[in-house]
Amino acid sequence: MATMLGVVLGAGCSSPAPAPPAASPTAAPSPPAAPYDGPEAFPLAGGEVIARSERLLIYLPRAGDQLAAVAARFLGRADRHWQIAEANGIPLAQAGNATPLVAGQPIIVPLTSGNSIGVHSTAFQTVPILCYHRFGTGNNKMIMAPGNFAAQLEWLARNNYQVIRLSQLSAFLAGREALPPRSVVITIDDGYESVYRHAFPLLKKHGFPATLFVYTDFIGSNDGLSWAQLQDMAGSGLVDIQAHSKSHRNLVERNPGETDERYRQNIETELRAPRELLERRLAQAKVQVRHFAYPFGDASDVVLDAMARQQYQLGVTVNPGGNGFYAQPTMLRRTMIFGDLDLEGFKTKLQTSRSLSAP
Amino acid sequence: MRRHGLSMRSAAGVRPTLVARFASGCSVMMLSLALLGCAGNRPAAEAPKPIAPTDAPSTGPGAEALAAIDQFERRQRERAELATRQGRLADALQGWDVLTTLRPQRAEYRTAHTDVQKQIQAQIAERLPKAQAAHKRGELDSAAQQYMAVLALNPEQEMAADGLRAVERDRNKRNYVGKLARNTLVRRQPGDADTAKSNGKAAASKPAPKATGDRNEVEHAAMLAAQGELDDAIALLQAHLAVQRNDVEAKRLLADLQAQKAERSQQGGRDTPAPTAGVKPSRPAP
Repeated sequence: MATMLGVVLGAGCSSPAPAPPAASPTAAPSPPAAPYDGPEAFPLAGGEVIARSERLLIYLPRAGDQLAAVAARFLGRADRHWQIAEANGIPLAQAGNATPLVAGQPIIVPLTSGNSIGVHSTAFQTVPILCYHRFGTGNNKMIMAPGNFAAQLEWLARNNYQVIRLSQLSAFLAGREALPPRSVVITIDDGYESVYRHAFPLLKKHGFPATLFVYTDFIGSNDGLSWAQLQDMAGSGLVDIQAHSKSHRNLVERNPGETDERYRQNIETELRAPRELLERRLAQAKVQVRHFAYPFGDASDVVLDAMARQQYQLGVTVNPGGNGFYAQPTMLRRTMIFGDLDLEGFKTKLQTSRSLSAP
Repeated sequence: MRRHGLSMRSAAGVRPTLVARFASGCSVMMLSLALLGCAGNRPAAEAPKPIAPTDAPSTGPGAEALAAIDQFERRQRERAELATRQGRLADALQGWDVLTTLRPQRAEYRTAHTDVQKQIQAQIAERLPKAQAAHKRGELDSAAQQYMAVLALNPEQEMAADGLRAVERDRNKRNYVGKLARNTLVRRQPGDADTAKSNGKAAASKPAPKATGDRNEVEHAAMLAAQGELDDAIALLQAHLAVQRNDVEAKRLLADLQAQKAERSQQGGRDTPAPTAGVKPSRPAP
């Protein structure tokens, strides 16, 4: 009787004979639920699926359901809760992991990443890559006071910015995976010892990942990080150690008396040697070097060709601006964060979306 | 009657488990009303295929939930209609997508969905060739805007996405990617020497950075300059040279920056980059 009623209701309440909708309501199997991947534990989402197509399903939460639990159940990952929030117009500020859902109020769960490039009707997503150098005190814009850095990280955390790994950009740039709104990347250049002393504890406090670009001739020098410090940071899983050349020379400048052939060989060495050394010395932390920060922020066709030969996937410059999905992976823009920047100035550097009229 | 009709329609496309619970609580009267509310006679074979109850909970919603589903449907419909009227076609399509998923049998939803799809296709067919033509002509900004407009209609339009990526590569080549060996200054203007001197004085009048002899300071100065902080870059190099007087690279960069600042002064603007060959300070923001 009950099934019959369902059939009658379903069949009788629309007029003409239905053509199959673009997305079949039964075609997509439920993605397998993966274990929760965050430190938090969520009660399992136990509500009902009331309709489903290939692209989305409509879910009726039960009491106690949380956004992250629904994401874990249907998208396979709790940290994709923001995709459900976005589909339902839930403001980001309210879309934390533990956001409770109203029992019995249907929500949309997007099953496919149909907009993995972050382009919307009026704006598109950009990802700022912040660039720091040295930490401490000093009358120099390139030195960031630890207190200011702490305030910046605190502000990011309190305002729902998602500090992501640089490597996560690869899939976004290829159009394969969406990134959360307000995604930001932190990078630190050169390899100053002050990174270990001042920045690393603050990154750990917030659980924020960062990429440290070191030039290997600097390691073990007076101001430079030691191998033990690099090992410690890499082993934490938070700090990704990547290459910033061997000698820190400007790769687009040819030294006096350097022939074309010699110049090309030297450029190759500047890219290959740090990768090999870092991977060998930090093998315990399973460091793989696939990203490169150009000294002086400069690249040329010769350098870009060498990047491809040396199998680097991402290259960062200091050309200012955020990175839309269309950014050239080996010419990513970065935003310098200077030591004299106050918090208000810092906020203006975090441009995570831009108007469609100015791509 | 209308209310009952809405409630009954709520069950269309809903999982059998939910319908079953709803049905078990309904009277024969309710069933009769439901049947009266139906618009036409259609063989049961045309009914939506029920979704397999693979993860059915032991308890669930009843009539209250059906009312909530009705509300949800109304809200989605209002949004889809508004987006359609406003020409936000990608948003509209999403809205109709939700509604056709919820009510696969509703012809009006399917029609609206199809209409929006057709509008999107028509607009893409018009804009994409324009974007490609602008790109071929080297009009990168115009091409980028057209490609982006296509993607705003359909973010999965691969040709537009690839087109925009190609525009960005061309922009980088045009604006940033250096030549093989840039060793010397060019574009010195008459009177630069005097202007450079005065610029040096201006920079020196600011609190000078403490000279540290940091081996990375030349690069840092170049980066400061690249972000438009020309005075700070000059001051940093001057402080560096006070300690390391024979640093040829620092001297050359300082000369470059002073020349560049002189050019800017002549152009009357701080933000206009000067295309000197040595360095590329103050790169344009995208």
